Amino acid sequence: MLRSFKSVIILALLLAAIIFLFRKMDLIPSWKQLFGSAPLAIDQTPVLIKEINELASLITVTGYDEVVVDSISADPAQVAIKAITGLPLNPFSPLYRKLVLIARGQVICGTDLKKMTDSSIRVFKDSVAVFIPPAEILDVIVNPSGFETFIESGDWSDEAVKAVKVKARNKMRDRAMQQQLTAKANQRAVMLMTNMLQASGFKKVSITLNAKR
Amino acid sequence: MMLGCNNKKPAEQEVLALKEMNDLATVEYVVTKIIKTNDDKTWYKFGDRKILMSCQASIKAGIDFSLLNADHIKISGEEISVELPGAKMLSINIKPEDIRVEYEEVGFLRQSFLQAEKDLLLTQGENQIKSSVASLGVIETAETNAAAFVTQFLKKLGYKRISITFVNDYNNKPPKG
Repeated sequence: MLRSFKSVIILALLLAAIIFLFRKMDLIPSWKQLFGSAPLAIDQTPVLIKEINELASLITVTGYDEVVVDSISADPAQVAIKAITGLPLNPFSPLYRKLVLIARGQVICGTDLKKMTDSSIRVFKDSVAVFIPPAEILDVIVNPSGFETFIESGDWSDEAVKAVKVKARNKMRDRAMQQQLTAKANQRAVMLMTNMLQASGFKKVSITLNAKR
Repeated sequence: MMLGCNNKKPAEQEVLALKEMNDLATVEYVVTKIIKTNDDKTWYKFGDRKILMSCQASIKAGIDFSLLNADHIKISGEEISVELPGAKMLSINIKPEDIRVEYEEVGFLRQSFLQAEKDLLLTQGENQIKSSVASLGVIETAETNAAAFVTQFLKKLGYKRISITFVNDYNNKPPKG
């Protein structure tokens, strides 16, 4: 009896030692790997070119920003119950759908030099006068990698999520406008054009911003 | 009261960070991509989930003018030669409006894809688009367009003979003298 008990103990210790050794050598999966969800991975698919556009945008200022946007709406089923029973909606009810997103992105400001015409540059001996279009917000970029879902409760349609994401982008644009990013971009465009023209051999350089149309 | 007034944040601090740039974007590639996955790899979850999304992205490329200085420009009468830095990808933009869920199938015992999961899949798609920039010829087109724009600009300034060259190792290579 004692001998067989000893054998079982030795066998169990041996088994534990083998499992430990195999785990160390990464030959068998861990408990976490065994019961964890397999990571979501997309398949390799080709990238297709839809169109190619020629640009001449002088990017002068980029603002990196972070905004929080949310949306809350009642579940249609709860609204139907209220319509039938006349009972008020409970704002703390989990039947309320809520989506809170944190969006990180960038607002790119600059001057579209494609808007310059032949009359935008006037040269006389070693002097040059250049008329440049006013700076504008060229892009507000919030890519999928810039979104973080903080709260998501209830079912959200793709259209509803899209609307919240567009709200985040518009908020970022508004903040950039409030902080006069385009004014800063204008100042830099004038400075950069002056430096470039001076390096190109001109002694007297005049840069003028065209009035906003 | 005084403290309250002093604590008022200036508007400048609301933006996370501002960076002064000097990039000339010369090309935009509008590309499309299918993002698909089949979530059936977890052994203890019964049933699978499939999703197929399509997205459109705008890739902008151009040159960094901040590297350019007077040493990279040689002038001799009506002749000018300019050494420009090699083009690079400047931005990738995937707008929320340009993302569409084309097909989604969720097994009876499974939960629909959460927004966070969809964003995770789209992020992988974004990274695949970024890594395909070189094979799409974006950089070459950006350099061609940059050379055309700078040539046209210098012509307007009165130069008759213009030479534009691109140097990839711009910071390490001394400008030609």
